[in-house]
Amino acid sequence: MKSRLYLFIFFIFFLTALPARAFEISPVKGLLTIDPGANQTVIVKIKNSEKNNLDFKLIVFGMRQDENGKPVFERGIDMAESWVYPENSLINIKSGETKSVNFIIKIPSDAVAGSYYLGLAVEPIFEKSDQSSVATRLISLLTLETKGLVRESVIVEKFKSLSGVGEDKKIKFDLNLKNNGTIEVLLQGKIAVRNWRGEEIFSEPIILGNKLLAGSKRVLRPEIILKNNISLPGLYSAQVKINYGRTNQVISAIDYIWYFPKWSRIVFGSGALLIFFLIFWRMKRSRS
Amino acid sequence: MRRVSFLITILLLGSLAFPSASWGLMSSTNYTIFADSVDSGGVLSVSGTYSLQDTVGESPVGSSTSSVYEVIGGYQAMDWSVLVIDINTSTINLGTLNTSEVATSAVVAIVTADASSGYVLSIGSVSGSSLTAVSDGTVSAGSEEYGIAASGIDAAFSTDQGIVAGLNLSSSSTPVTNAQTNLTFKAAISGSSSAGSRSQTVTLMASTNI
Repeated sequence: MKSRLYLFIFFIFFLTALPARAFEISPVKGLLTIDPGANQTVIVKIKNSEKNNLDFKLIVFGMRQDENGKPVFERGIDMAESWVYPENSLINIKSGETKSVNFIIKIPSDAVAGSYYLGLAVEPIFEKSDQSSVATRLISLLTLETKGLVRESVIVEKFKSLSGVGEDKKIKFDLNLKNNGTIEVLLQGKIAVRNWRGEEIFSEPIILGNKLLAGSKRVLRPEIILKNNISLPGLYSAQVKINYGRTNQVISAIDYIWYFPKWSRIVFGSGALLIFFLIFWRMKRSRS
Repeated sequence: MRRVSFLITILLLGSLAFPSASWGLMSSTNYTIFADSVDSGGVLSVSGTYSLQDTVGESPVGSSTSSVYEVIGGYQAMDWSVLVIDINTSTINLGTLNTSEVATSAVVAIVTADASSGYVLSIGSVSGSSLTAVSDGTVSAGSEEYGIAASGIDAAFSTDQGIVAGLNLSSSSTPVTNAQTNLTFKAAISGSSSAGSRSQTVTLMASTNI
């Protein structure tokens, strides 16, 4: 009875039996500096590598950057989505042919100076079907920089060691950055470690990834290995220093880390025991 | 007089042979190229951290010593690299599900990206109906779960993930030719799963990295 019941419990996942889809676009990204109130056209070339002629639809997405620096495309996240539109929303391309499509850009006269990030998307349209399908979409990145004064500003939201210095002398940090400026910036950084006297015992560049877009956050887990640079137990300071942007601004943050190698713990433990024993011995002696 | 003319000719020829002195803003330590606009035709300038297509006769962006500088309109830089996507099939058939096994169906996505920043392949959008998304990293027989696994040299994850828009499937920060990502759609039901058919449209989306 139970097995018969399961016969009724069926789920059919079928994605349409359509031919594979191959196509290409160019350019893959572009940067335009443009005056408020000005118009401009961007050309995207599409090649249909399919055996069949295909219709392609053209869409404009807003683009943001995730915490790993990857692009994420969505509708309704950037006001500039309404500044750019395809000349024709559909285009038919014969098999093996390449066609150019125009995206028209109209910047409002009151546009605030800074960067706006968009994705110009090209997507083949397949035959209508009751069944569902796997579709493909290619996106050309477009950065619009509107004329005027732009500000570069990156802050360190968090810089903290995730653990103390272990026996392997590795330290992993939690480093969060945010671009509070109005334009994207390139980042370069290093971590330096100093001892209690302020002497630098270690310094190494760290990888901070690609450009940090305006308004974006970056979450990083840089790791350093102190090797022979550290030997004595005690309190050390780790400083991250970041250079960013075309104006070459510098920001930094400090975190403190304790280093207690195994041998020091044994020495301290033995010393504490010895002191305890001496106190106990003296107390016993004074009583007698 | 003849000697002076000779010297001037030599100097002119020398300046043509070593034109870099006449290029636009290019500085050292944190190498800034923003508009070496005197270039002759859109080659890619590359430094350790910065690359940009040059264009001819464009206005550069102004520079400044403070955190503020002025962007001047009229500059255009396009990366005319090519981005290609190819999927081996757009058919996924998970068939009729039962409680004793996990149904699977595979799609191979191949991306070619000759841009220096590589590519990102992700799920662009999802529509339709589906089962409960997998949340424990594995689609298991006997539990109602639906998800996707990715494999290949650039795969972004090794566990089963719920199928949602924005899910990063694979990426590379360097140019790739025919980078293959194997996608496996997986579904399983439990005894209490409600009967019926489900169908979904999943859009795979590729772009170059930022």
